[in-house]
Amino acid sequence: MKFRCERDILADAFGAASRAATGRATNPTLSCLRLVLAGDSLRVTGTDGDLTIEAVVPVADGKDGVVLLPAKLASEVVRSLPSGAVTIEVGDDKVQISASRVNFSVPTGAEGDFPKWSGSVGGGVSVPAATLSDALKQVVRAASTDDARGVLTGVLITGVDKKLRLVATDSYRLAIRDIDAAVLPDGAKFVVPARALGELQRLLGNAETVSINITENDATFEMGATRLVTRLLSGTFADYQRLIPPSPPNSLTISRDSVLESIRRVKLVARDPIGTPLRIRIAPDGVVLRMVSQDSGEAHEQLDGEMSGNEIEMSFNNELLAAGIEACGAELVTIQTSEPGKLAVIRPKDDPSYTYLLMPLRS
Amino acid sequence: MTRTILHVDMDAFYVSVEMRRHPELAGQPVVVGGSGRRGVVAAANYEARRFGVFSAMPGVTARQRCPQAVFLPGDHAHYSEVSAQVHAIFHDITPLVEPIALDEAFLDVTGSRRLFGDGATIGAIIRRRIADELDLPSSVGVATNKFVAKLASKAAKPRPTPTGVLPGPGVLVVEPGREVEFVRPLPVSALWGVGPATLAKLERLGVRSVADLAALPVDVLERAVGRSHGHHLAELASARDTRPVEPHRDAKSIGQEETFSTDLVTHDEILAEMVRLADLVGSRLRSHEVSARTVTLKIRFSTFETITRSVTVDTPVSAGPVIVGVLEAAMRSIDPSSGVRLVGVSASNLCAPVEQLSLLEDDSWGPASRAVDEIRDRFGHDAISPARSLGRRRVRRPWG
Repeated sequence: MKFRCERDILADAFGAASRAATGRATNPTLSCLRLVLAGDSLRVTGTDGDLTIEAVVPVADGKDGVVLLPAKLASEVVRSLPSGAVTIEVGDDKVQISASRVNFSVPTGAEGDFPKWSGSVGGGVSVPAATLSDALKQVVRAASTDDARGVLTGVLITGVDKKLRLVATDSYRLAIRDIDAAVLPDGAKFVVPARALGELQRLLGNAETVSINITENDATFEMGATRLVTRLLSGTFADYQRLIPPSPPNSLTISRDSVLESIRRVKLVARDPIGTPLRIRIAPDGVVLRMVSQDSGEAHEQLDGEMSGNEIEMSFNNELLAAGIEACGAELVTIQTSEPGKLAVIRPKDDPSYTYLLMPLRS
Repeated sequence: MTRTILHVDMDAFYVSVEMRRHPELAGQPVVVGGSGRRGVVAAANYEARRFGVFSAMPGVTARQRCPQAVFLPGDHAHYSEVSAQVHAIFHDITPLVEPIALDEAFLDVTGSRRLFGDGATIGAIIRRRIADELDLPSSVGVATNKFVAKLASKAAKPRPTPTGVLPGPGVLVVEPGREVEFVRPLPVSALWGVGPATLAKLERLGVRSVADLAALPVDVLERAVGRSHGHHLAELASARDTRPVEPHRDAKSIGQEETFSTDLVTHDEILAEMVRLADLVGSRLRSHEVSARTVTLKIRFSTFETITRSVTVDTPVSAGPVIVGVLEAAMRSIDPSSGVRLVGVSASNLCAPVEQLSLLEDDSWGPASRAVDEIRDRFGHDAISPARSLGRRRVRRPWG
């Protein structure tokens, strides 16, 4: 196999595909990128067996063939080359990667057990890439990162009222985002690993639209010449709808930026910000954020906001609270509460498409 | 100003506490702990020590050396209670009490001398009060620093000999200025920080006593044992120790581990033990009113190879089942088929107890943990246990 390609194009393709490759599997081919050249189109694939990322790039002066390259090394090498044309030529057991006066000779991997593409090809529903990217940013972070938590490490993708709904929870907070796109029939439910969606988010940056196709076992996302397929998680996702309180009695509308800035400020007193509760008191005469640290003092800040309902004081994990408020994206956010030990509902003002539920700390 | 530091060390504490409950055992060799095939001796009285029985010795060896000894199971809860009574006496003398273990503490009595008399007098007061009020023996070392005070309390203790137990002086004072004279004849192994490895290196240099060590040029010493360790030893050899008595030394971690009489070979067996150990750790975290950000699993294989796996979580934990949940994946990635002789669970990175409430009710352990704590407060630790640990050893001891 032999071909020539622009460094920037090849570096992007190698970079994208190698994010799915893994050095931690027992199958050594999973630490490789698989390159398949047919005519003037090169397909670059990386996979860990559950998540696969593929990019197709145009090349010149090609001689067809298949080769496996060590993913990490190959993508680092290509990125380091001077800009301009890169030539890759496969020898007996080595691959020559060269550009102008630089040459690398890299061992090839054995074709062996490299997994086949398991996703679907074509036939998906198109969604603007920017819309999906925003939604992922708002939701994926709420999923659990603890592998032991099974289905909670995934994002529920479901059809509701002809919309696509994404839901994630680590059991302390829960994020819901609706997108105007009838990708799934109402009631259909799939759980996609949050890690795969995190990778998808990186790939969406350069795309106009993304085509989504979810089948029983896999979810496929295609963005132009790049596509990603991931196995779905099995297990029953929490019955999240039951958690949303119909009409919490207390409501506060407040500037998103001023709350975020205030949280950043008051948490300076906490040597261990995660272990120190952020207390928030919402009263007719204003909102007070307060953090008290046993060894390094205390901070409180008064903020203006528009409230209705009763005065209330609650404690939160400051990072979880800030993450939810930040994810709202709007200038004004509303925080609805009922009583101190019960969850808070955070939404962008007058925008029901995003909801963040957060449980308080007991204190 | 010259400091006056006391090191108070209870004599064979666990055994002495047991002797109060079993006066009929007076004069007999008594050993606490060491039951079971792999149990380890937690404490031995001086009569048992005459036969060469010491703490941390395998119970099997202890039984061989002293078959006539009475072996008692340990009762950690009771020892803690008695320890608190001992510490209350210390606090009558000075607030500067640094607890080292249940049975020993450093006291800085520099400021108490005008009220109670010199170090020797205060040492005698404490020793008499512990004897009169709690019916327990203790030894006191008095010196100008912690290091020498600790060596002095050791020299104040009763000495077991093949022919009987010789009473010690009870209170031993190393007068200011006589510290070097006191430490010189001691073997280097008496120094804090000299373990078997360092001892071997020092012996190669011909160093046996502290006096030999003091005579050694510092650069030779530093080359032999490393720079900071060498510096530390040189300081100790000249009886210098400026460490203050720190009354508020917070616990850095809380842990529980156990050696099993039969190796565990399956994940399920290990899990059952983890559930039990994590339950104890959770209980202790809550009784200290702290939560932990990091939890650690320790596994010792039958080959004595020991591994630890730590997980740091965003939401501080203090409930046994949550600790198990955090560590289970790490445990399952270990192959136990060659035999596991010890499992330990510990919690560190301690912080104020904030309990993050859960949206999914069934994984919030707060109310359940509180109910468990209340039941145990009223009816004892064994009144309620995780189901998975039922049928396993009922008596749980940190040694066993």
